[in-house]
Amino acid sequence: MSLSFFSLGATLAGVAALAGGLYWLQRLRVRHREVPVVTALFWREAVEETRARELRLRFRHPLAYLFILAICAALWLAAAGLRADAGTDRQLVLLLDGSAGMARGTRFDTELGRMRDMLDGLPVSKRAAIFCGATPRTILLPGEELAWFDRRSAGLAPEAAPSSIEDQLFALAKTSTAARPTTVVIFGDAHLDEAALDLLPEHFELVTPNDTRELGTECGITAFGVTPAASGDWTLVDAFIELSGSALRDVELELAGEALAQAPEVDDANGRRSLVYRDLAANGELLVARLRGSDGLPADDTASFVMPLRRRVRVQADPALPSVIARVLAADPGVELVTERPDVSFGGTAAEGSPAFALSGDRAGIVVRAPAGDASLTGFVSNLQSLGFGALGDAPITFEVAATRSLSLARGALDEEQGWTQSRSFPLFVSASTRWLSGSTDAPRWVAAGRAIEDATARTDALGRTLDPLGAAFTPPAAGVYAAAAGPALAAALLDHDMTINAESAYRVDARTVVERDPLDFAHWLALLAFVALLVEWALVRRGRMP
Amino acid sequence: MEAGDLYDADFLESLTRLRIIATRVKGGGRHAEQRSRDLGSGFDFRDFRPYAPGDDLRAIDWNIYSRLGRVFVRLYEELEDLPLYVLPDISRSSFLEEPPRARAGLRAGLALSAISLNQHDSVGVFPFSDDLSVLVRPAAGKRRVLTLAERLASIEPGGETDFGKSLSRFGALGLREGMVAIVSDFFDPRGIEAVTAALGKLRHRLLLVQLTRKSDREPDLTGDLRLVDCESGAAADVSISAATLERYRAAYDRFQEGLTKFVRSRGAGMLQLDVEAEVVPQLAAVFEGGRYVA
Repeated sequence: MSLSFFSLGATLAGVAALAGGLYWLQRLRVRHREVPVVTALFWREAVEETRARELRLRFRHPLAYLFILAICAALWLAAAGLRADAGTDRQLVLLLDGSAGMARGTRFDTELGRMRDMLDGLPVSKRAAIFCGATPRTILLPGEELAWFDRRSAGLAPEAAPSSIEDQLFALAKTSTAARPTTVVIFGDAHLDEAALDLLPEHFELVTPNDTRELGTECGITAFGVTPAASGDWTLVDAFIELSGSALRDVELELAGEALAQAPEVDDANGRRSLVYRDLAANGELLVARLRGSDGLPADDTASFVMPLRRRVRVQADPALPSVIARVLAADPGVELVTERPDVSFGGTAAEGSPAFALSGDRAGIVVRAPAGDASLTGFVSNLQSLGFGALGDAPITFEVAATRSLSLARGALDEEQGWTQSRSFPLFVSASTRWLSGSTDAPRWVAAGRAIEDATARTDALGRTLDPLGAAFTPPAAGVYAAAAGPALAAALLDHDMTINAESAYRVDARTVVERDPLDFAHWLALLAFVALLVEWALVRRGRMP
Repeated sequence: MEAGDLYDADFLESLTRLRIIATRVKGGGRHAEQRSRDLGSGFDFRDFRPYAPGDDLRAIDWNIYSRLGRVFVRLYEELEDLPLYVLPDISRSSFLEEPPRARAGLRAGLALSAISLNQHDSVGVFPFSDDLSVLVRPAAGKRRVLTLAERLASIEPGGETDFGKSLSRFGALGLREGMVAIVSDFFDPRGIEAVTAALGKLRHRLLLVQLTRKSDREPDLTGDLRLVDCESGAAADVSISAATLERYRAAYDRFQEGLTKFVRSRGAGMLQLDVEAEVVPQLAAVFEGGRYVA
């Protein structure tokens, strides 16, 4: 037995207040309306036995008082939401997989119908339903009628995105407690990782209705990205495509809208086919891979990727620059040594406002100068530390705020005795410094829906909705192109191997029917009881059985 | 109230068919149309008696003398009048509601007066409330109806009803025995016992015209009320309920039963006059065949 809206103390206090209030109302002298009559003779005789209520004199009608108190208390308890609990206060959440894999045949509609049937049999106050597409959407809240589910689920369809059920499970687990356990019923083919699900709390129960999964002959793109060209040309990249499935198909590639005639290097192994296209121009254009033919899952038959825009950094090297640095610059394929309009100046005197790499004789270590709030500074310094520069004993990294990026290296660090210039990290240090000073950044080499990438740019999807407005790590919710206000767009592909091969979850969850019932709600019965009691009182008053 | 409110031509016309017949009026009255206990020079033979000196020789029955040899005179029934004394209740309760009971009561009193005057009886009007007054002294004459109506219309509301005092004052007037028509609601604050006790002292023939209305027994009242007696000012705080109404009706029925019981025991006439209905049709109901035997 529990109360939905008030605490026990508040409820008892309310009943006490009602009792007191009614007591004083009963004690109040009745204010009579004066009516002249031809004779009061008969009235005096009539009231000899039943006098008017003058309860200030004494409490004349205790039974009537108890009766009205019972009526008021019943109404008060109804308002307090008195109910008898039926078993545990378990919440039932039904998750509908809205990932791309559900587009196979009538899978989605079938599961939607099964979900509705189960919701229909569950207690209204405990059930909830969530559509787990690219972003989770609640389609039925506890206490809502099924008509809301019908209205919100109309027009729902699988989205070109990986399953978000696992993320939703962990979100629900945060709100689940031992006192209020949760049963989650999953409708769909989402692949659940066993290791991840083992982290769910014990009072979190997973259920999947009995279903049979039909596997067809399918093929999809499960990996799609680029790497710097093996040929060493800085402005070129090699594209990599992986196909998986039971019936591998041919691929056609398109860059900037034009089909590539180049034959790829093909390697078939373990039911997968790897294709490598060499020396494609890293020109920032859209690269699209399409499988020929079709199967039950079209979402993984196409993949898009925006090629990185790679151009050489124009570097002006001072003739007096130490040879160890000059040699590295000359060997860097991404650097073009120029004598005018440089992107970065090495040694010597840099033009006003242009980035510069300088050698310092009076300061130890490295001095990094950047404008306040330079977002790339952290990544750059982290890169320096990973190169082992921070391991040099007396070579600290010092930061200073300046209008323009610049870097000052202690000349002493170049001494051969230090050994750093002879290490493999030195050319990488020079290369990373050159690119940071020039402002060029590495574009991601692959972008998959549902996978986070480092991207500080706020982006908008195809519908114009702004995603990740804070500019933190960006996770494309679904396959598609994501534009930015400034800078190149991103194209995300599905790239979900488990979905393509329709892999069943390794984590076996219960397959049973969920049976729950609503707690017995006394509120309506109490209100009805009060109403009937009022009718009884009215009848008693009319018959003179009650004052 | 205007005299025109009490009567009109149809009202008077409808009364000409009604008559009040006395079984036998007490002698000593004025010559009229009612049979009396006096023997005299009427038309209806009633008895013989031996001749005595001084008797009218025209009354000697010679047939008896021829057969018996003794002289007897014929005696005839004397026709005299039946005085009607109308006692309208003019207490405040008679003027409280709408229409006031006094209007129907005065119309009933005027109607009875008109009937009596039509048959040459004398009529006197004595309104009463907490005391009795003489409005019209007993006198006969058909033409007096209009005068009577004007006098009745001029009556002003009185005070509290006091049957004991009023009827005692009426008895003290020493009027010749006749018929007393008391037109009242009979609501005396002293109760029905006081009313019947006062009525019982009257030595006249009685006709009680009780002015009633439906709400007397079925009051249309609800809620918590302070009921104030319009005459005495006495108040009774009442929370109206079905039980209270039931007890009220029982009290009213006891009152009514007391009045009816008195009427039966006294052999008086009684008419319950609904003040919200026409007076003459209700009055005619008492006059069976157009005659009311007093």
